[in-house]
Order: sequence, then structure tokens, then C-alpha cells
Amino acid sequence: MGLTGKILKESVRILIIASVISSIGGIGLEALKAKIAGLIPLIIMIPALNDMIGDFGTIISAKFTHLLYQGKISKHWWQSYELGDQFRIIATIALFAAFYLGVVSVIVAYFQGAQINVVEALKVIAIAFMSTATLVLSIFFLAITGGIWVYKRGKDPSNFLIPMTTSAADLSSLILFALFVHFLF
Amino acid sequence: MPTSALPPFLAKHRHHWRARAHLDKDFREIFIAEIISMSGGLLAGSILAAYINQILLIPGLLILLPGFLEMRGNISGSLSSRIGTALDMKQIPTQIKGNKVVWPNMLASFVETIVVALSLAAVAYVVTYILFGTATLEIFPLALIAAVLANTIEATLTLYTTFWLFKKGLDPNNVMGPYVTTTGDIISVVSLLIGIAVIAWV
Repeated sequence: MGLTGKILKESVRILIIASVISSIGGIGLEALKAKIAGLIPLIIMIPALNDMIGDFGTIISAKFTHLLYQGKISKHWWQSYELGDQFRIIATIALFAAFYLGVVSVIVAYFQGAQINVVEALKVIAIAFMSTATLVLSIFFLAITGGIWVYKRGKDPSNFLIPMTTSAADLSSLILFALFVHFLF
Repeated sequence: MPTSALPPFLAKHRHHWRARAHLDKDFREIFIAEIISMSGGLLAGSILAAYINQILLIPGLLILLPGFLEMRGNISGSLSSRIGTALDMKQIPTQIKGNKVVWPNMLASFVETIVVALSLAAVAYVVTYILFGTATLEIFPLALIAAVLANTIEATLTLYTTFWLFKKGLDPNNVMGPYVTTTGDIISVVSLLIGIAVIAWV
């Protein structure tokens, strides 16, 4: 088998699974397309929100795995200072990032000629905040419980946590986004 | 301030200060990377918003879109990682021309792109048909045209950037991840719009 065949054999299946999982999140967008089409800041936000949540999945998983291998996570993981520090850093960045995402989306939409009032602008920023906060908290909890479970069974969390958290982030970010849009607009 | 230079009454806090400095460095690195990555995503979203009326004409395109963006980052990220690791381990020469590893990798990225794009189109078609009853077969040629076009641009860009970074003494594996997801989003959205224009024209 040539190099091309070897690459294809090892990668095609996982590429299809990862992409299809992401597309499932798009069902929420398709269901609300009439509503979303009228709200330009929400369209501007979609690719960045999706990327951001996936990025946090990777960062949280990598940091937690590192702490596990350093022996800084005990059975009572909630008492770990180092984990607390990591949580504070990531939560702070996530909230800054959500604010940046919401505000820039509104500003760009305004300059593209979208008619947005103050209440709609605040709702857009609120959606960025609520989606980010909910997903970062959930991913943190998923990484901790999943990571400890895998580590206790003598397996390497690096091979497990990143695909698990990024897939969960891809799947849930757009569904949650669509739910917030449905309830707020 | 180096902790060894601290006065004795502050020296007992040096571990805390080192940890603090380490956390500040973490904060800075993650924050900057995230802002750059999000700015690329916002640019892609702005392009998407400017042409939203054309996008809404194709049923299922909003189902295809997230997977399409994910695919671009995954394929180009893997391509860069394979080439970057081979360069780092001195398994391949540092020139692209005549390199026996480059072309099989490029060919694999095109086959992966076509297979994944058609799978995504099939999912978008079936889901739109079952849930919304408005499916159109145009989603298949659209996904194919956009995917091949995006891969032609992004894989070439990834390849040349990986070699260029390595020759500059940087580790492509540290830089190419955020780079391919950011450029991938923009190139994918533009390719989808070109695909829509081609379908409309034909």
C-alpha cells in the first residue's frame, strides 16, 4: 500500500465522523434559519463561536491531563489549587472572549447596514455570554470526570479527552446557540 | 524580577510569585491565540452575513456549514502535522520540488476532501428531506465544487507555510493549528459562496 492509501485508510473514517458530528449541530441553525437570517450579528458570530468552544475543549483537556500526570489531582479534585487556578484563567478568558465576540458581531453587523436596536444588541451579547459560560463549564466538568475515569483505568487521557471534549463542543455549541436564539428572539 | 534577587522578607513568597508569573504567561498566550482565532472566525462570519440571502436559497446549507468548516481545519491540520513531523525528524528534504512525500500527502488531502464533502452533503440532504421536506440535489455539486476549491487553496497554503516555518527555524506543529483553523474558515466560506455562484450560473 502506498503512502496515499495508508493515510486514507487511517484518516477517512475519523474525518467523516468528526465532520458529521459538527453538522448535526447545524440542524438547529437550519430549523431557525428564518429567525437567524434577520439577525445579522448572530450569523457573524457562528463560525467564531464554534471555533472558540472547540479551542477551549482542546485547552482544558490538555491542561487537565498535564495536572493529572503531575499528580496534582487527587480524589477530591475540587480541592486542587492548581485546578482552581486553571479554571479561573480559562473562565476569565472565556468571558472576555464572549464579550469580544458579542460586541464585534454587533459592530460589524451595524456597519454592514443591519437594523439593530439596543435591546437586540444586548440579547446578542447575552447569547454569546450564556453559550460560552454554559459550554466552558460543561466541558470543564466533562474533562475532569472523563479524565479521572480514564486515568484510573491506566489509559492515557491525552488520547481520549481532546476528541471527546471537542466533539461534545462541536455538537452542543450550535444546538445551545439555537436554543438561546429560540428563547430570546 | 528574578526571585533569587528578592529581599529575605519576601523570599518566602517566591514559589507563589513563580506560580503567579507562570499563570500570567498562560493567560497571555491563551488570550492572544484566542483573540486571533476568533477574529478570523468573525471575518468568515462577516462574509457569510454579507451573502446570507444566497446561502438561504440552498436548503440544508446551514447543516452542511459547520461540518464543512470542521473538515477544512481537520484535513489541513493533519497534512501540516504529518509534513511538520517528517521535516523535524529529517525524514524528508526541506524542498517541496521533487519531494517524494509531499505529493502523496497532497493527493490524500484531495481524496479525503471529496469523500468527506460528499458525506456531509448526503447528511445535509437526508436530514433536510426528513425534517424539513425541502431537500435539493444541488447540495452535492455545491459541496464538491466548494470543497475542491477550498482544498486547492488551503492545502497549497498549508504546505508552503509549513516548509517556510521550518526553514525559519520554527516548529510548524506549534503554529499551524490556529493558522489552519483561522484561514480555513475564511477560505471555506468564500469557496462555498463561489460554489453557490457556479451552481446558480450553470
